Amino acid sequence: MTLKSNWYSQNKKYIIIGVIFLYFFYIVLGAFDSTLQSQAESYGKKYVQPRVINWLLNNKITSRLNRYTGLEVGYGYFAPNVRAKFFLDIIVDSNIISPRFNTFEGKMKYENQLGEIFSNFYDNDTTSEISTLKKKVDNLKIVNIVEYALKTNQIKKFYRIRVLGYCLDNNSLKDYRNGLVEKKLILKKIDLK
Amino acid sequence: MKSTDELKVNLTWLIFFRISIPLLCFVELFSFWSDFIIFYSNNELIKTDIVNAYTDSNSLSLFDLYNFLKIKFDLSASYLLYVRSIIIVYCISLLLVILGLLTKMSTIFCIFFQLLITKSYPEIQSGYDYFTTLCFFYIFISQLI
Repeated sequence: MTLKSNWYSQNKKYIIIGVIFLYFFYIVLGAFDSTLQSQAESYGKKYVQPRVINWLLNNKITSRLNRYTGLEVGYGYFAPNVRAKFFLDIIVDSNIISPRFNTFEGKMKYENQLGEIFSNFYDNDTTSEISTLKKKVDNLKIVNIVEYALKTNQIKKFYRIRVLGYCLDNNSLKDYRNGLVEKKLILKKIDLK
Repeated sequence: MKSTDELKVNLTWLIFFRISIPLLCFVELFSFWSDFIIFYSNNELIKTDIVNAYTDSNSLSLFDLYNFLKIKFDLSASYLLYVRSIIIVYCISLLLVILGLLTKMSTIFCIFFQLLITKSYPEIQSGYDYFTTLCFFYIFISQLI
């Protein structure tokens, strides 16, 4: 125990410098990789990650290390990011209902989740197995949300349920001045009987 | 060489940082406390197995850990009770970091439980969660110095 603590106290300085160096190396590498990727995408080209970067960033150990040190997303979250607001209208016969939450934070998290669910519907790839599976799972999630909304609104008898998922297609400032109302951009329609 | 006054200022900053981040986590946790079970229990908003249908293999989720404990140690507690116990352990480790007791160990626990909770429901994860993981790691590093 004493030997161990002696070794640690003697080499503490080098261990900490090593950890911090490794940490910043991964920050720089991640930033370099995402810059290359966005540069390629802005020119409409497919980005092929260099083999060395791919090995350094995506092997099992480093991806876990990145997760537990919070480096997974780099420092991208500091950038201003206002996402579109998504809505899910659950039309039971002729009444529109939505799931009920006790807190504002809960409602915000639910809207965030809707955004994540709907983002998969933008994916037009019908050949990929993963994409099709994701869409099936997302449909199940919507059915779960509908069930929860019915439960919280205490609706037991109904004839027909229609679900409409949409986000608001914002107008330009010029359109806004001319009095145009925000359009609904329909993303998903489900008819449950 | 830095003067003792300068070192004192840095130490005050580290103490402030160590206390403020767990406090922020408490604020976040209690801001949707009454809705927490709606998101994380098995039979409220979305069923747990559907939420975990395509989660990342690199992260452990509450559902995975529950299944592991159930198979290996024959855990008989309900999923809801298990989630509540995890939250209590997470709160205790946050409290220990605030008080500065067993800080290194409790910071590791904080990172583990924070990731366990957030990665179990990746769809409601926000930039704030990444920020807190990062901060806990910095707290851990600052304890080594």
